[in-house]
Amino acid sequence: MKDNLDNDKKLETAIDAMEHDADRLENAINTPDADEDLKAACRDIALIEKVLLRQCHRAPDVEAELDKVLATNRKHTRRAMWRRIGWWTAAGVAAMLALVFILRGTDVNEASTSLIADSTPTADADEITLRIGDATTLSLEQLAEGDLQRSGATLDEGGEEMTYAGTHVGEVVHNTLSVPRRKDFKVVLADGTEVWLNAESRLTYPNRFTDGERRVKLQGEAYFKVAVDRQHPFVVETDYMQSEVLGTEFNVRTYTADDCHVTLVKGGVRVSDAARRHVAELRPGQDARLEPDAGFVLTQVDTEAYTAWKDGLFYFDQATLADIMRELGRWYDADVTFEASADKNFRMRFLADRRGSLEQVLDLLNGFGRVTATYDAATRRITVK
Amino acid sequence: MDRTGFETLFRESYVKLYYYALQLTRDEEASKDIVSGMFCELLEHCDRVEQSTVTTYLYTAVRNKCVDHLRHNLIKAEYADYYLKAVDACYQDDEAEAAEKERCVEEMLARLPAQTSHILKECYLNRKKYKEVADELGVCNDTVKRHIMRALKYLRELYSGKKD
Repeated sequence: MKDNLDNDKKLETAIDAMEHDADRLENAINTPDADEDLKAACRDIALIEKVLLRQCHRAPDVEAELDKVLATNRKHTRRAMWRRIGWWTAAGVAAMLALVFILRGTDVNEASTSLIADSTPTADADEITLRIGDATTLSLEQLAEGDLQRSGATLDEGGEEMTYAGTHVGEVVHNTLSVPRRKDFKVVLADGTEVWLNAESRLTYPNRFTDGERRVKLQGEAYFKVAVDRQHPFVVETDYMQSEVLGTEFNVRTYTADDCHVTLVKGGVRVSDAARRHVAELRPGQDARLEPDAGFVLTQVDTEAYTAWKDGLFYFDQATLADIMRELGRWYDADVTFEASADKNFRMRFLADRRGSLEQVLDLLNGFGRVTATYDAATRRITVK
Repeated sequence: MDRTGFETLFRESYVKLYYYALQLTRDEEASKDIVSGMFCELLEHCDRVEQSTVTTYLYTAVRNKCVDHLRHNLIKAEYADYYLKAVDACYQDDEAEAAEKERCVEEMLARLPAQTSHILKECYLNRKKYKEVADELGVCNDTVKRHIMRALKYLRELYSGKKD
């Protein structure tokens, strides 16, 4: 009987303690006999609260929150990069503005108008598409659940990333992912390797890897973060060269025969040309450029200039105006014309936000005063004077 | 911890942390901000995160942010202090044991007389004082407390019933 009374007393103290009333609670804190029974009773009340809250408040959309967090982080990465580049250039005081450009000596002007980017649109020019096996090519929006299941892929809710991670069984199907101009896309392959595909690029890969090596085929540009697997080398095959690694981070760029680069950020890569006549091994921080018929030219580079695109930036380190304009044309899907007065071989350092409009980027270029680039939206043409 | 590890951790723990923050702040938007903000910070240095201690880290970080939030909104810190201990306790249980206890609570809530469950909701979900609820119902303060006490005893019975 006494025990019961005692117990009731404790429960009552706990109830008092857990009342949502600040004044009472101050007393409760000073209660010396906060013994196990009392604590247990308080805890039960807290548990009742917990369950009531869960029953009466809807859970947040976790995937949406995750996207937001990852997006913020992306902004951070980019902000950090602006800061770092700011430092380099900020040797002088006026540097914050000059951040856009550092010009260097130039070659002779070419006296003719020339077209360096051609925006011939393809049938599905605006959509990211997936071709599963021999089936028809479908845009990501058109893909039905069954298609995805057959390919072994899952698409995140925002439609910004596709993953095959964990696909280990079932029919082996080759998938081809195509990214148009103005877009980029990330795919996680079955072995966990992450691939960021740049604009106007295409990647062919199996939904799961079976043989001794993990082989994918690339046209255009992609950044690879290869999952380590010493037993199964990872091979990136392109029209002009191939790269072989065990586990590493690197960028492969092969838009055209004269624009072939492999840039190593981490780990080790072995590159060879299509005929396997030229071979080179890269160390982190090196870029291998394939000179048609002459083999690889290795240079120590600022790798961020080659990989900034995956963080949503244009970043050129002493690139020629021609290269810069070609890249802008590719991203914004515009033709580029150089007038005779323009110097295509000006080299410059240039940084801009890829999410900005073409007009904003051209403003930055023009603000430097050495070139005048104008954009005619009707003809989708950039003219550089 | 790598990026994939981060995403897994996020998916596994977001909802739990959200309700923990919600219990402390009773503010849905603030709770999302607190938990997402904490994950943003975690992502910045996720390569330095120890998998073994990460859960403790998550709860501590969220709790600190909630306390900041309460303090910022001039809610008495003393209040938070004591209440926190009880709330913490019910989030730090062993997973399986916690799930079992929560099932008991659900069962209890489903079986309680309407009046009692109304009182529990008013006091703990809507954070009303016992006196306020008593006045609304036209009963005396002690009656409200007796309802709660009965609920707690019933919960104990359910606990012990499960143990047998």
